Amino acid sequence: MLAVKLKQIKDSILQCAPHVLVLKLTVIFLLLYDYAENDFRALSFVITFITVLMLLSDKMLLNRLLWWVVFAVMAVVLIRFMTSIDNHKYVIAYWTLACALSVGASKTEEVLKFNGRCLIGLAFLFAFVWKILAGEYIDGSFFTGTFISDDRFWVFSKSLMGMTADALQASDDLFRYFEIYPNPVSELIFLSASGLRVTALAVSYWTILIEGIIALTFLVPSKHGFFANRDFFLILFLITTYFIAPVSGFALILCIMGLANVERSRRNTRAIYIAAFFLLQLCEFAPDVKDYLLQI
Amino acid sequence: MFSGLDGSAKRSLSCIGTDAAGNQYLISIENSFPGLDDREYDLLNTRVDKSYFLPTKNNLKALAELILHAPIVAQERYDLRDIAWLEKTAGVDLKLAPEIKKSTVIYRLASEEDVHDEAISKISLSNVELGMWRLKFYPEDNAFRWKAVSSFDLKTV
Repeated sequence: MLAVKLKQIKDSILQCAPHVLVLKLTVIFLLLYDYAENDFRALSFVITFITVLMLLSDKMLLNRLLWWVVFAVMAVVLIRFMTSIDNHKYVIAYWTLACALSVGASKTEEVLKFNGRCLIGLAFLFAFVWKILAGEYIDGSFFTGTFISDDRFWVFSKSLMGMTADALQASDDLFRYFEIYPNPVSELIFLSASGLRVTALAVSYWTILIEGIIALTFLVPSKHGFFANRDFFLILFLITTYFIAPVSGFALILCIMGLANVERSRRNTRAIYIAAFFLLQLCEFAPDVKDYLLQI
Repeated sequence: MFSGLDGSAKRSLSCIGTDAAGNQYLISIENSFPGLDDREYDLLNTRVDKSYFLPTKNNLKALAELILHAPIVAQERYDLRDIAWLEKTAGVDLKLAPEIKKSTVIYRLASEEDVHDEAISKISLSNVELGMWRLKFYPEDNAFRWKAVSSFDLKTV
């Protein structure tokens, strides 16, 4: 019964023209995501008002001027906080610009598809290059520090490396003392951290590998062999990354751009992206689940 | 201090101020500076909190001047009594610089309210030493240590 109901929902969603579906998901995302946060309440209201109109009417959804207004609002926020704003807000603004350019174009679906693929490919290429150049992913030091100092990762530090919750809290406290005053004399030595190091290296290389593969598969315009699996790699990345480091804004915009890139005929892949879009909303609750697991 | 999850480089700044009598003060520059106007605040906050502060002589000099020309007040007292217990629990050996062990009080720039509050003692600096650091991990002995990127020393004339 449930399976039949789910199939009906899936069919009714996928009946929608692909570009309309992508634009609608973008609008839902923008409505739920507070782009301007507390800095510009009036601008937040403009985005909310326009996205509600777009959700209520397909005519508004396909109105080029409204998309340009939303993009203009984002541009104001970006310019005002250029150096300190979260980097995924740039990606969200680029995608909104792509939506504005696609609406009213003769091949809206193709414009969205091309821009989605380029934005994902370039974002992952730059992330891949940054990680290689910084060096801290290559030697595992980034995740060694992160597993100790970032409480989003503590549940893994506890289960994979056998560290107790008390030991992690104590390590974090010591890390904060260590950060009070950077100098050549202070040092922080982990006396028994072999498991930590192996896990940090494994996670580092997995991150570099999956990001490199996504950049390659999205930037190379081939639909065959290895490159045909680009959606599998992206969804694998979304699920393995954002339930651990819950940056929902990044996860959801990647999901929408991934969906925009899928051929109309690949109904199952489109359905998986849509399911992922709604499932990834749950990543906001991941910290609470992890807190609970940490206490067990 | 580290690369972010996106791989972008991050750095930390250290700051020691000295008053006319030669007393030294550890000054926090990771927190906000409410004594500054909006433009200065944004400038400083952006430079310090995010990874966009370029450790050029000019940038460090501008930052040192901001700190030097505002009074500082005590901000926070760190309790180091439990370090031994924390080290034992975490399996960690923490060696801190003598400056931290000597004085566990961290200072910050005075806010507008502080400036008018007679009860708060405002300290004027005659010298500011700024350092730009990166945190590095040394896998051979599982140790984190600071590595200097750049430094700057500004004295009043």
